[in-house]
Amino acid sequence: MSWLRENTLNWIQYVCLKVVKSGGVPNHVAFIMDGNRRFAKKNNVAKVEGHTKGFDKLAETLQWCLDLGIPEVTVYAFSIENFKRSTEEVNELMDLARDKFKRLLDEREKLMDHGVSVRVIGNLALLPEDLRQLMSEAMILTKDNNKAFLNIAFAYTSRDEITSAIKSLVAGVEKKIILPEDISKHVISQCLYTNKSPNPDLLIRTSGEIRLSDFLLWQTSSTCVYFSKVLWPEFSVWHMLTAVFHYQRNRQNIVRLKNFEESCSLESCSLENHQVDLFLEDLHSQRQMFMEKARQAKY
Amino acid sequence: MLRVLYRIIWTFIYLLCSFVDFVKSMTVSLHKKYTNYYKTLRLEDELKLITQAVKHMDKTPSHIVFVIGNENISFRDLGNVIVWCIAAGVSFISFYDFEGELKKEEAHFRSIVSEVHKKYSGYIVWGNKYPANGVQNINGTKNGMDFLRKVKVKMFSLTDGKENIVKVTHELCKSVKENILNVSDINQDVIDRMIGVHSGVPDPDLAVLCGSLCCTYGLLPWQIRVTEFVQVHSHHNMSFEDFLCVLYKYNKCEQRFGK
Repeated sequence: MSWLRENTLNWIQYVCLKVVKSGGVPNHVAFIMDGNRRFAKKNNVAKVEGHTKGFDKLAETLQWCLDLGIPEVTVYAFSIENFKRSTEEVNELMDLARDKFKRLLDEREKLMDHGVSVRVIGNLALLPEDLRQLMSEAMILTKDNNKAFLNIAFAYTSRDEITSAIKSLVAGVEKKIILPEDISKHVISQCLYTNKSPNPDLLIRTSGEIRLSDFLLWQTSSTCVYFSKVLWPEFSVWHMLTAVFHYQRNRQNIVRLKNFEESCSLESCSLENHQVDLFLEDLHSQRQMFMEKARQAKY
Repeated sequence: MLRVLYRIIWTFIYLLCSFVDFVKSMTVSLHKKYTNYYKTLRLEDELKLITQAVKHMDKTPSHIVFVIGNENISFRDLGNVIVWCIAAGVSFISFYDFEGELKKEEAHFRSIVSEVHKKYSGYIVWGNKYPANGVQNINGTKNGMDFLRKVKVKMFSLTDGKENIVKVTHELCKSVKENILNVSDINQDVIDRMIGVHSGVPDPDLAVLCGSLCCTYGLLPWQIRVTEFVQVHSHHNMSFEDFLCVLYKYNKCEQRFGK
């Protein structure tokens, strides 16, 4: 199954989508795609079948987001905690990811035509080398695209992300590149894997669970959260439209919250700081180099 | 042309939903006023019912945080919540509002609670008087309410969230500078312990979001990894049935921890 799909909506769904779109859509939507295994169990099929169905649903959802005019999407594909699952299931999931990233690279023309930039956020060092290579390849290939952004959280947890940010900052202070007093909320945000993205406006979690499970905890302080009971493979365009409409109805409150938070950080945020800029530039180029190395690895 | 038509339809649906919501909230508040007026249960009975109900639950939260979203704070209602939490055997209860109103008004809040719930003020430990890891439950015997345990109450605001992570980073810089720690020794457990010392509370098990917007409002980002979020329409005129309903919802949550 392909990443970019043709339109699958019937005319009535299409009209409703247009109606919702006319009310103003979020700039960035995050998804916790939960319920693949419960879907498999419910339908008496193998777990991997559930995960495959989940991926197909992702492709479909990305198309809806494009149709709605939502430029950025972040999805929680694989948590570091998921490594605790059975070896068999972890291997199956890695195989599925390999398969899908190969597919993505095969479709590079389509991807470039649509101007989609793909970023994998997470601790890539925890992944098998060949998968890391495929991911790096996709990221480097699409890094200059700017019409739509797809962030895939893989081997990700929010605590791991924050820990890694703190570690690089403390290392920067130790090497005297920056001063401890330069470290602020804003600088930490810039050290996270998501430094290129605005914070999500809407977070959708499926399958009836009502927690964030270590996903984007730092980035969602003024995000409208929408918990849906539906299992991810059964997520339909109606659920998507309901979630966006829910966001629209709460928009005023979110804007107020965002403004308040920004006014707080402005007070503590020092003006332009050359040293901090240098540090961040260095950190980001290190990450870029890590990707280049992963892409060229031979095994 | 078509776009204008879509926008008109959208506005119509939007207004319709707002109207339905308005009618709903009016009915709920009228119903609440009516039932409050004819309230037959005394507070003691409510507490006994809560204790009974909790006995039949598989799990109850040890740390509840009430997040006041986009509504005014009603200290009287929050005071009731504290007393219900005592009955439910909750060890920690935190109150959060992002603008810091609760922290500013803590003294006022305390005086209201000790005035309305004089009988139970012995069961309430306020503020920073308890150690971070001292999750002890001390059985009280006053008033013949020997089924009650002490609850620790604390206020939080936006500045306790990301700011605390910044503070921890500063402390780590200092430790590394003084050679107490290597950069390679920094891991999640180290940070977790330091965050725990700053906030003075364990990770919340349950967050009750009060208001129409479902959002974390910047609540303790490091500590809400596995916190269950339950939304209530408002904390104004919250009844003990509403409170029990929240506990039932929490009871149904199953944690798999990634597995």
